[in-house]
Amino acid sequence: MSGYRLSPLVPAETVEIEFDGLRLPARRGESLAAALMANGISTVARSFKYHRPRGLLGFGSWEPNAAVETGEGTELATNVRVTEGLRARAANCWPWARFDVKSVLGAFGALMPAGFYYKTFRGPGGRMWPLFEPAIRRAAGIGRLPARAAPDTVKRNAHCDVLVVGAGAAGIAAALAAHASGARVFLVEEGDAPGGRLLDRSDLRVGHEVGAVWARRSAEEMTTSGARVLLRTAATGRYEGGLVVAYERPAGDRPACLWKIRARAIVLATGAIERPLVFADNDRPGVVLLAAALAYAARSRVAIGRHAVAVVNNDAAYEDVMALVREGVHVRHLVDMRGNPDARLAAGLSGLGVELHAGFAPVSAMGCPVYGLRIAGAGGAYRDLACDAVLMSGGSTPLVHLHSHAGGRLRHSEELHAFVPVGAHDGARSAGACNGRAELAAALADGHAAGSLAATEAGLVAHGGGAPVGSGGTASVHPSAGAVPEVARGKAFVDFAADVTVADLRLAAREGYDSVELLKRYTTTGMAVDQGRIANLSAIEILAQARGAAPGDVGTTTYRPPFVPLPFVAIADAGGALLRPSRTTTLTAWHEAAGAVMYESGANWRRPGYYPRSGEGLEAAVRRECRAVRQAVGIYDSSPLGKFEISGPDAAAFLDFVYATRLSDLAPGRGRYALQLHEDGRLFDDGIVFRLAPDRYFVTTTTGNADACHQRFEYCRQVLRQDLSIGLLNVTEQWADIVVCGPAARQTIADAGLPMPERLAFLGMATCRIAERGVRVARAGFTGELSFEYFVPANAAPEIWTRLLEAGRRHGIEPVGSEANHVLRIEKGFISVGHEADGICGPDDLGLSFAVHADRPDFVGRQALLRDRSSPHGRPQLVGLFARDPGFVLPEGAAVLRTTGDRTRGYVTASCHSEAAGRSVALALIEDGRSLSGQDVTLALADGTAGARVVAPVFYDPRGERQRG
Amino acid sequence: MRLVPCPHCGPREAGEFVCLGEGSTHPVHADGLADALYTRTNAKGPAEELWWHKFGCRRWLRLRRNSASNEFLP
Ligand SMILES: [Zn+2]
Repeated sequence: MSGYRLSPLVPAETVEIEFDGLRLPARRGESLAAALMANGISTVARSFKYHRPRGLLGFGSWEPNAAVETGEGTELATNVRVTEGLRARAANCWPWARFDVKSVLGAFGALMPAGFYYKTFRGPGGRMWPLFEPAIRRAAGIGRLPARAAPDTVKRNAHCDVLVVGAGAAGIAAALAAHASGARVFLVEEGDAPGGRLLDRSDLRVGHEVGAVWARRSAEEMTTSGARVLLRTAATGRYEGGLVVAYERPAGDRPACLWKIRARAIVLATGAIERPLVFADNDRPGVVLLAAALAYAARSRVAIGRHAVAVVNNDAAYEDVMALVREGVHVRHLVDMRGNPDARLAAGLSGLGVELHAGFAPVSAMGCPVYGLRIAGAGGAYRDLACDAVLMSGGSTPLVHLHSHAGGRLRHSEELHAFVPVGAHDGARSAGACNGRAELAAALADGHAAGSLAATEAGLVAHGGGAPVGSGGTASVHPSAGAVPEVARGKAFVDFAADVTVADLRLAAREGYDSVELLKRYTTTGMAVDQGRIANLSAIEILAQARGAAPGDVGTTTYRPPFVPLPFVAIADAGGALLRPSRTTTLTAWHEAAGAVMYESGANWRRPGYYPRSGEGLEAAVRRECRAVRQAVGIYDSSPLGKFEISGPDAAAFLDFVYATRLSDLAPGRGRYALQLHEDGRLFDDGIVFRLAPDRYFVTTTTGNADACHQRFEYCRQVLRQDLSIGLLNVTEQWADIVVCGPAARQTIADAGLPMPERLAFLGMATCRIAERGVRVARAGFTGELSFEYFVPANAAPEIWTRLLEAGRRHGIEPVGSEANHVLRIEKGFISVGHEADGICGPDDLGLSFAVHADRPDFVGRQALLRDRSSPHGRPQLVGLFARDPGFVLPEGAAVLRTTGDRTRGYVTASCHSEAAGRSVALALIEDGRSLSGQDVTLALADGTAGARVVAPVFYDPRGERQRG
Repeated sequence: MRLVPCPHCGPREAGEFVCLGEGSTHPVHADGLADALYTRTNAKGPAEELWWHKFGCRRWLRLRRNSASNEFLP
């Protein structure tokens, strides 16, 4: 290829760029693709699979080949703007596109047929995958991750009456009609300027103006009067409810922007792209789409070559060739695959010195870069045409993707040999070339009508004016046939981006992958960066030929967002703290300063796992923390516990309904361990409910279920029991919760000068004041020791925590993390929702029947619970396990069998080394487990088995004397 | 994202809501207990559903939605 500039570079706008180690002059602001073409660089990339040299095929986002790395990630060269000092390199090759070491793969192309990887490595007999996977993964993929984090993307939401996607003739006509009706209009356009194809064809006129001038003036006037026109903004997806996501790459230094635009009505005027023709070596550098060559010439003032050949199968291509010649690009031959060309168009061509070869089909491109094209006539006569560029026009492919994304239906058009939208869908209607109306006058009329309808749909009165009148561009885009000759031989590419040839597709069809979705997955057609824009219709045509079916019956694959490639950084955050915010208590800073190992635990809370001293590991720290609680005093931050305040005249009746435990007879100042069940009688949540006053309760739930409890309380209140009058407040984050536990707890609190009601009994709660703040103190905890729980206003917690720690120092106080808490609760056999309450167990299974008061008329789960009692056998039941080897800690989750070879009877739910018990202990859920007490069972481990004895699920202070102390 | 018509807050994105479908019933008899617990109509077409506006007014709503077209009905 011998590309060159049609207008010389002016020094003031010239900058130097670097591509694959070459220093090149370029025009500031033009696309990297145009700069490469202008400098005669023909090979800009290597293909994905075979590493064949590739040139530019398309323009804008329709480029399948030219992926480049710019240091900010992998981009299409057609979308990269030239700036001073731009450095880029071809993405899929090493060291450079013009000489690539892996290109030897191309020589073995015949050895890599459709489904090659699957057949060789994964399919029957293919056991080599583990061996080859790393090498294959290194060779696959396009580009490398940039070394530094991508620049941030701004995210913006917008609302409008009418959103128009695409500012070509149809889009502008639609926007004008909606704007004239008083609609708030958004018009988004991927290109640098409004106009679309009007920018390429100076012969196209709207009214009395040149089309491109009309487009620019219309966009400016609409902007002045309140419409929003976003250029360089590609709509990437349409979602239900009138939502369109668009990605803006602003010129200059402004950061990129991801728009979420919610519109009452949408006009899709996304246009069409040209289809490549399928012939041997049609991927050689220098073989390009005709429309792309025209766009480079008209918009970037760069010529693809000095003597080109065009190969076409439709009338509209003649007009494009003539426009290209008028731009100054010499086209020597036009090959029409059809037999009898339109006389008027043929005359126009010969007037411009283009030689016409009608009734010839392309056979193969010659040379690399291309220096000739072989064509064959009906009788088999060959002609070899010398050229330095081949321009293909295989018909027009309407861009129906956005219509399809949210579920719009398609039909196959016999005239277009392509799929077009069926009607409007979810407030979005297509207009212009994407709707199968590519000719200028038809596109303008279609756009105007769609814009008026959209305004009406948005609740406005459509402006009665007429559609803009177009002239020029009358030739039909209807191709004579599809783009695939019956006899394509050699490496004739269908999907350039995924490197799939016509032979691959025919082989796949012969092997039985004859549905379009299977064909896609087996050959990877349409799965690369261009999302099948270039390849899909040809692939469908090939499949139709192979099956002897109509393309409309073959159907098309499902289109999914994104419509154009979108950088990950645009849709995801860079991974900072805001990506998934964690919740902190008012004591988190203290825990971190104390060197705690912090865990992300339930409901996104960050809490201390354990507090290692220097040189101490997990086990030693946990042992020390447990010992403090059992022998001296411990303190822990239980603030994440779910907390609710339920008040009102029916508060007691409400809790009696929500809980399986009776709470209405609780005396004020008392608490009770209470259970919530699912309607199917299974345990949902547990916690202690305190009665503050006759009409006021303080309810605690588990941390992980706090949100779910809130939802359920509201459901019971608003849906199931509207007869009850209660107030409900989620106060989880308002109250911090400091627990002081251990034999020296009382002394520690006294030394800290904190109030402790004298006669506060086990499960009692009293209110008192600390430093003028109202505080609730309860005799409760999760460790089985004498335990005081201080519910204090969240912001008062650090001061109280510190006072307790200082006072506890001479009693040997230790802060205790969740790891030690886990051990302490296992020793006591306290269940933990999520471990033992696994959604299958009911209260009786867990030994919690004492907390169920079924002798009441109604509560959630009662009916199922009553029925369960009639079939008590085969239930999973909570038991304790002693491993035969007391030093061996059974793995949590291990399956429990009665004997080796038995089926699984249950599993270990929690397990640890217990210093209090002087051995390892475990809790398990085992089928009819209580009847197995004293018997031996077998545990299936990853590497063998272990023996254990079933015991009662409590390993410390079975009578609970210490906590009642 | 689908907009959910909350009668208290106006149209809001579906991510603010919890959808409970036909909702969980509260059986008061042992008769037909299994049906009450586990059988749902799961109709294709217009269906009445319970939605909770969790990140909004926290009201439980009874909304009509066409489960085939995913459109909310008046
Ligand atoms: Zn609401």
